[in-house]
Amino acid sequence: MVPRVWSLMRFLIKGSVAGGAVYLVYDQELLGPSDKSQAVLQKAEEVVPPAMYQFGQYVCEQTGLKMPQLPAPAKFNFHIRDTWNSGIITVMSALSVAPSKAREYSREGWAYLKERTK
Amino acid sequence: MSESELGRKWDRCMADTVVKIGTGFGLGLVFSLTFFKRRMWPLAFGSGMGLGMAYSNCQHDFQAPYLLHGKYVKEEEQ
Repeated sequence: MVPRVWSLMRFLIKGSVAGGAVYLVYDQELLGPSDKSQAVLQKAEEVVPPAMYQFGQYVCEQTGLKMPQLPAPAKFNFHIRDTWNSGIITVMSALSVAPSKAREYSREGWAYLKERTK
Repeated sequence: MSESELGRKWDRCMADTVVKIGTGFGLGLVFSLTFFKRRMWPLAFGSGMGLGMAYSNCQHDFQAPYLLHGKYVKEEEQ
């Protein structure tokens, strides 16, 4: 009797966890249109880093540890358009100055070697 | 389609892909832990579903300006 009740309880707990996850996805429209997903990502970017920082502060207060100075949280809602354009510009400008830079570095290297072998 | 609009579509597409793959992976993880004895296939299935849904959304978004919508018009009897 008790093992059956326990297995039923376990099934109900698992079912409610899985059902809650499915409901959360449905409520937030995470698998819906693309503009809703973009809005969710923007909201997450605004909410998650301050929440993590406050949680860290709370843990430090409770445990008495001092929180180290962490680097700024990474941006995860960057715009592909801006980064792609700036990436292309950086790559092309690097390619355009590559021959002159290579000549300059080889001259410096050769002068260094000559000085060392004197 | 102007370049700025195309850029906005790409941004939306990338954000949608990230969210859908993450959601599919998360749901797969929950189901794997609760009902499927920590097997790997629900995670792969969920991620794949999310990727497919994101791809379909992106495809529709990019093709939408070029799709023609017609309707049947009855000929008037003379």
